Amino acid sequence: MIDYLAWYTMRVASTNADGTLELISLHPGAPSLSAVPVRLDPGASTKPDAGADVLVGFDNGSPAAPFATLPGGPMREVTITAEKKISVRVPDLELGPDGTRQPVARDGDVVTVPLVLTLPEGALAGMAPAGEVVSTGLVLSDPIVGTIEATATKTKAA
Amino acid sequence: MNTDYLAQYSAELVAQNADGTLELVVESAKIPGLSKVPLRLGLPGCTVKLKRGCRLLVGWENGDPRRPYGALFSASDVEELRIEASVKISVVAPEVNLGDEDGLPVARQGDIVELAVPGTIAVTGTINGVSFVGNLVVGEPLFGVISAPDIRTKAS
Repeated sequence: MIDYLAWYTMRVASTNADGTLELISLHPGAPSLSAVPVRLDPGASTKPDAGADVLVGFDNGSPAAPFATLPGGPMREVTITAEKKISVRVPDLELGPDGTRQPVARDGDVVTVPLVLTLPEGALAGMAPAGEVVSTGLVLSDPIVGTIEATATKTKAA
Repeated sequence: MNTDYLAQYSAELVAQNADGTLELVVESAKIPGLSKVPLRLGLPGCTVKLKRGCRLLVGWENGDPRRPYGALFSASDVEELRIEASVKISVVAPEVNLGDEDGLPVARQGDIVELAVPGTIAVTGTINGVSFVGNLVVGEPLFGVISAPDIRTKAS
């Protein structure tokens, strides 16, 4: 009984279609286990790669009720799910790979467009002397300024 | 097996090392201070920087006194949090708030941009090689779409 009060390090052999794990015990006090459910932080899920380590505990110290948790090492995919809402509250938030990030645009943010127009031949035919019209590099004196109008309804950023 | 190491104990974080491991003082007199204790987190791919002085639990892999790990601290004790995966991270919920709950909807590829063009715009350029100065009259606002976003971070 006492053996099953400990949490044991086990190695992931494979992940089943239902998300349970096939585990290889790394400790002689605990057997290798099959179809072990995974318990993670609220809403979190992952499919650990074969070879990843997890800790295995036992509900009520029962050998019949193992669970895997606290995975170690790098992950390939992580999903955080909630039925209603997920909030990330922090003064400084970065999304995406290191070294490639830019600020995200939001509803109402200002857009500035410095316009240089190249009009097609004949576009100004009524304004110019007769004959072929070639216009290049028409520059508006001021950039056009506008706002982002229609955006995501489900994801918001501060 | 020493059954003392089957329990989890409350501990105080004295310092967090550059590699993320912890220097801990355990509340129970049974357990000595612990150094270079790794964190085990229930959010896969997550690493955290914790506030000095915060409390967390310490357990031992396989009940082995040589293999402590720290876990289960309060959310308010997190200074920095990083989630890393080599392929993909998904945040799935009908509503996602980033930064705080009073933010604005994010712009995505294909979203509309409305440009409020003034009725008359001064224009300069050349026509048939001759310098040109005039006014461009635009009757209606211009609309465009966002066409070149970061293709790796997506939102709904």
